[in-house]
Amino acid sequence: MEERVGEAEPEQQQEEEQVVNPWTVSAKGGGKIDYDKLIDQFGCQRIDQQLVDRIHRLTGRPPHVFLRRGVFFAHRDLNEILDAYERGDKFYLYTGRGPSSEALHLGHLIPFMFTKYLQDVFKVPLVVQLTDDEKCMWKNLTVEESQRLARENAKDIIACGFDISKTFIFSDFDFIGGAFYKNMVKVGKCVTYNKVVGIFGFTGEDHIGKVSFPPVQAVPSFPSSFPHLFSGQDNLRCLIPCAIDQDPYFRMTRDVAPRIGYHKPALIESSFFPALQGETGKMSASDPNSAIYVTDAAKEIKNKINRYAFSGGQDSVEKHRELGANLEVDIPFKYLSFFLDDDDKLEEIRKEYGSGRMLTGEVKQLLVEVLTEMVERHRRARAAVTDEMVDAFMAVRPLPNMFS
Amino acid sequence: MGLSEEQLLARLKEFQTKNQLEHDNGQRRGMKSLSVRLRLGKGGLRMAPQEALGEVLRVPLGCVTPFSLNFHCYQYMFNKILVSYSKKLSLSTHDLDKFLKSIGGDPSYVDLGSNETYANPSVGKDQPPDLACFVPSGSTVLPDPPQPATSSKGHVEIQVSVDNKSTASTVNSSKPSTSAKRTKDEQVNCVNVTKTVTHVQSLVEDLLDKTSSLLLSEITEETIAKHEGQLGTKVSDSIRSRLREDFERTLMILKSTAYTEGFSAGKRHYPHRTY
Repeated sequence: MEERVGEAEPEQQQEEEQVVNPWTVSAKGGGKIDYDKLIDQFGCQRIDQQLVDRIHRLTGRPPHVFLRRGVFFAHRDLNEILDAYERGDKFYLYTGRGPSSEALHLGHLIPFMFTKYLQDVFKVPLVVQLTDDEKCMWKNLTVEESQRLARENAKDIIACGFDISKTFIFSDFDFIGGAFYKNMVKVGKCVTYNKVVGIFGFTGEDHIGKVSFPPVQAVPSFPSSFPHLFSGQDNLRCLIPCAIDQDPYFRMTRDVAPRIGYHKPALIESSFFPALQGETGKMSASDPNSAIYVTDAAKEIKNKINRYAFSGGQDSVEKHRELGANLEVDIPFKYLSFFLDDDDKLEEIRKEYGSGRMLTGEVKQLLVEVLTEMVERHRRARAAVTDEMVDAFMAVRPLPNMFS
Repeated sequence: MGLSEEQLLARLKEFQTKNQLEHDNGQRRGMKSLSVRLRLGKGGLRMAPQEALGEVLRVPLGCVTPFSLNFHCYQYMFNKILVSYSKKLSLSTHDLDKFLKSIGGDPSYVDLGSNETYANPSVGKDQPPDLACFVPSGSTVLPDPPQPATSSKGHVEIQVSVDNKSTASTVNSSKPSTSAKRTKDEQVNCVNVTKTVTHVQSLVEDLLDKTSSLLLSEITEETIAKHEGQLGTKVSDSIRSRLREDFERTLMILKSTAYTEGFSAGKRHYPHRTY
């Protein structure tokens, strides 16, 4: 499928259309994101049931709930990765986080939860990039603050359960140089200023730090960027789990890769996690009631769900019994579709709540239980992450057992 | 014409008092910011009374004036511990850890950040107190000290390393029952979990407790009547699905902890090794 790289994205210039890029996600007319249109616009492919079944077959493990529910719904070259895997060729995983805040919410955890599953079932190594330089530039943080946030976010990432013997976490400020920087220069030479403006929408008001950032996020896709891990394995493929708003970076990367002698990285992309107040709402660090944070106590989770989670239920019990809930806009049901692992139970709720036999309160109560358990588990794990453990994950060290 | 002995002593005392006051103000500001970052409110942390030296650190009064100079890149800290008023003792961080562990402590090293961060901690809705997890569940609550007639000498500098059995008292003089202001969840998370993960027997007990608890909750008159001969299979499936994630996460942390301890030991042994 043709990949559209370097064209001025028309949707960035027309306010009526939806805009999806690493810094802006907005739907047409303030509504919901049209993912079919996005796939068509970006030129990536839908993950269908056949692909999910193939992953199940190859790994021998049940597909992750995010695959079963279509949270990770799009890909680029995932089939090539699976073909290679079937032949016995390994690959590595690459994901990352821009550490702009200390408080992580559930939406932030989604790519990491899924990446952990991929690491487990495929038994492959992972590199995690903390783009502290990006946040220093875009959020105008000091270098020290962005580095501090990077380490704090690393603790939450580690708490997701990654295998230390197969995982390398790095921050740009600490790691860039050597082979990594050489690849950055190679990528930079292949992308004109006009092209990067077209892809990312930079303007004359944007400083040169921003304009020169894209290669930083591109080059972890190339194994030679990590000589301490993948020395002599220039043929190693890379799979990138990420939210679909990161696609522009990797469209650029995939365009450049063959020109500098590397495989194109493959992608597996997720939709956006809705805010508590609904799909049209926006999660914001300045509004703590827009999301469930990993630091929220059980009481806060219950309070937020009960008071702020947008309900698709009807105004009165009688009307609800008659018409049922609008599951398209109901946030508690949507959240359960992300985090309730039991397919049968979710299906039962879909029927009962959709028909009006189940009330909003019951759905919310179940959601509170599910999220509380999840957040509690995360917090317990995070509490055990020490600064020494962060140092170990971030140490430039070989990983001799990364494929076993 | 010079100053008389009385005038010189008066000048000296004035100078000391002024500097002590500035130092005290600085120290008060520092304590306030630490207190906020520990989620103890603005006044929840203060210097420990002298009695705490004997009770917690188990050293006699008058023999310790610790002054720690601890740079991140250096392996040693120089502690001016007065052994006989004429000798100094330098301790490596490793040896200090050994001492603290020998008295039942579990030291943690905390980077208090830049001067700006230290003086003006950004704690709010989006920035929870970053040091809250270091306040132990069984913090020593000491009564308010008597008002000192003169400023203290031989004070204890605010240490960079924070012992989990902190010598700092957590008394909030107006509401002692809520002095810690920490949720029950944080108490479990921050102290007990860390100890459980590093102690295999405790970890096994914890896992067995979870399994037993779930097992008992699954076997009721209702479920026996409902599933009859299939109850065992149902309970087994339920335990597997509900505990798998917990067990995997816990054991992965155990693996990470073990790896980290080995890695740190290797780093101490070969500090200049690079790959």
